Amino acid sequence: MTNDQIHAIDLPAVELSDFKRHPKRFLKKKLIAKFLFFIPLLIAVIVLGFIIEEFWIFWAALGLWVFLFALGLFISYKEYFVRGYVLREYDITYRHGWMFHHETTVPFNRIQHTEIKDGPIDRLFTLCELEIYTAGGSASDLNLSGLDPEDAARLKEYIAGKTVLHA
Amino acid sequence: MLDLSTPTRQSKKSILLYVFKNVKGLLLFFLYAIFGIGDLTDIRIMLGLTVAFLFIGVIAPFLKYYFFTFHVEGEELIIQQGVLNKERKAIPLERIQSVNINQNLMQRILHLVSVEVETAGSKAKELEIPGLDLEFAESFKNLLHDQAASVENSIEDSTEFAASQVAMDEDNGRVNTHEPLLSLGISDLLKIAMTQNHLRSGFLALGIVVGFWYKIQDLVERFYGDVFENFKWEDILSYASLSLVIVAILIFVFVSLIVSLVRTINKYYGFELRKSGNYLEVQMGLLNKKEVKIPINKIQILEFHTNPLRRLLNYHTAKIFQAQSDGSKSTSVDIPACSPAMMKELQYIIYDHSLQESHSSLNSIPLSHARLNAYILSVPLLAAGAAFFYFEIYILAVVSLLILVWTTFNAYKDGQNTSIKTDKELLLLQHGWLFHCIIITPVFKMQAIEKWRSIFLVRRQQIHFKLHTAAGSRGLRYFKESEITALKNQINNQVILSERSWM
Repeated sequence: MTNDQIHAIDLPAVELSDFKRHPKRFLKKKLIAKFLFFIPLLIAVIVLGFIIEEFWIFWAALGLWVFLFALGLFISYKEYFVRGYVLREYDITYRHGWMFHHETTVPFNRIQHTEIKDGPIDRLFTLCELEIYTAGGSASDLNLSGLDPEDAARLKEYIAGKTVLHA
Repeated sequence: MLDLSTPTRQSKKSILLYVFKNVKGLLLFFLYAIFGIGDLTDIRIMLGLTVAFLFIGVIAPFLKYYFFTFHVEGEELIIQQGVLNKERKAIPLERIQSVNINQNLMQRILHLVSVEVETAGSKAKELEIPGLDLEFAESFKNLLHDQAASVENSIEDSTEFAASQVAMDEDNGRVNTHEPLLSLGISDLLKIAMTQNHLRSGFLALGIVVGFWYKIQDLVERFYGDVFENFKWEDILSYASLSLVIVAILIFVFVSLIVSLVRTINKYYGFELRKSGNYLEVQMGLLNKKEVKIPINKIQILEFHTNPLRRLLNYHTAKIFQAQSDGSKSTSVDIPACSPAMMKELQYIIYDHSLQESHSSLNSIPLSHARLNAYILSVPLLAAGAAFFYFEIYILAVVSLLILVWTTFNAYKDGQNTSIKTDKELLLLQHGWLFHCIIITPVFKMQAIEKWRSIFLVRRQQIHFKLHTAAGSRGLRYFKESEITALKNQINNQVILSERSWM
């Protein structure tokens, strides 16, 4: 056992760690969820085509739908590859977002509690969401969506063990 | 010393307070009911109304008073209330952030005050005891604070805290003899009022007038028919001449000034700030009195705001933020009219030191601020300019072009004034050129550090910075990526090593 003095300056930078990616099926889930989101809009466009006499409006609406749908899928696809988390001895870092990329680090001694959630589509793909809460407003809470349930439970356990030291 | 071991009721006068509150809430409803029924001779309707009025006006307040009790049990403050739905709230004393004493007009007439207990975890409004005698409230407040401090003390057992605790106990005896750090006289209030953001006051007044206009119109039309039929805003606009516009602007300015004056005096009348032991005490208010007591070690963020008018007087407005609960508005206290000396003193009081000279400083990239502004505004403004040019209204075309140039210049200046300074203890963010703002927060109170960027910033290697504390998030934009990365790691590592209590 060692008991060396630790200086803040000597601690390693987050950028040196390997970010762990979410399971591949999370990408599938995301794409399917996006598709489900766009179906009502497609129905609306088709109904519009039946109501309105002028054809060009229908084609324009359909074109817009196709464009938005493709863009949505593209962004979801891109996002998967930049999403990831790093668990270190004293903190957790999460990065997400392609258009707007965020990277947030929360030290364990500032975490209040954690929660595991899942929805119907999540369960279909055996995925779940880990929420990490801090005090005050909700701006600094982390939402790690699309984790393997076993991984999530392990993460939760690990974080709980760390936070209890500081409570 | 106050004995609160058994459930205590509020002052009996609080019944009157509840009566007033209920009657006020139902007045409009009853008026509508009476107008709506029209037939006041029907004895059954009158009887029903009277019974309802009696119940809501007299019996309900009495029940509410009777079933509202509070006491301290062990290390918890217990509040029990409710007639049909009983409710029992237990607040651990160590969780109490601050105890505020407020007094609105009705409470002043009845010589009552309401005590508001703030915690980080609950919505502030729920923990309110609305009808207490002032003396009782004062000793209740001190009791809560003393007990909260002693609970915390026994848990933490830090020598530093114990020492300050002793100092506080000594202070408590002579709180009233303390010289206030800052007290504002009438001339100060006038200065603050005149340097308010008048534009906001003006639009506030305008909003109220417009809001009332439709209500009044509704009412009048109901009784007198369509008197407004021949009156249309369009007519007024079509008659508008230059002189009318000027008169309108003058009226707007005048009303804005009056509104600013009234609001300022009502809010800050009798403002006093004092330090007693480990607490900052603020009291203010003309019609609605407010007394706030903030534990200094629970302050998360200190901000200084100013505007071009105030800068002439060298005044800043300080804002103090404590940990806030989810959903509730941030609990902040304003200290208007801080001179530079006062600003420094506040920093010393709250954080023990102001920022050292030998600090590292990161500067924002002003060009990026200007570019963002230009990109966003050029589309609508250039389109508008072109349209005006096409219709040969050259003045407006020039105006829209000037707006674009001015806002872009403004954004550039804002960017020039945006920077992050740090030393070992404190983090100082500043932004804004005309409306300058300084944000100071201790590094160890940080909860999470975030850096973020849009896809367009990747190539430029720039990034935004955001910090999260228990009192909310603050962020600045456009820094060099490598600098922010280093800062983020440095802050994070400092937080990891910090053992101090941060909430």
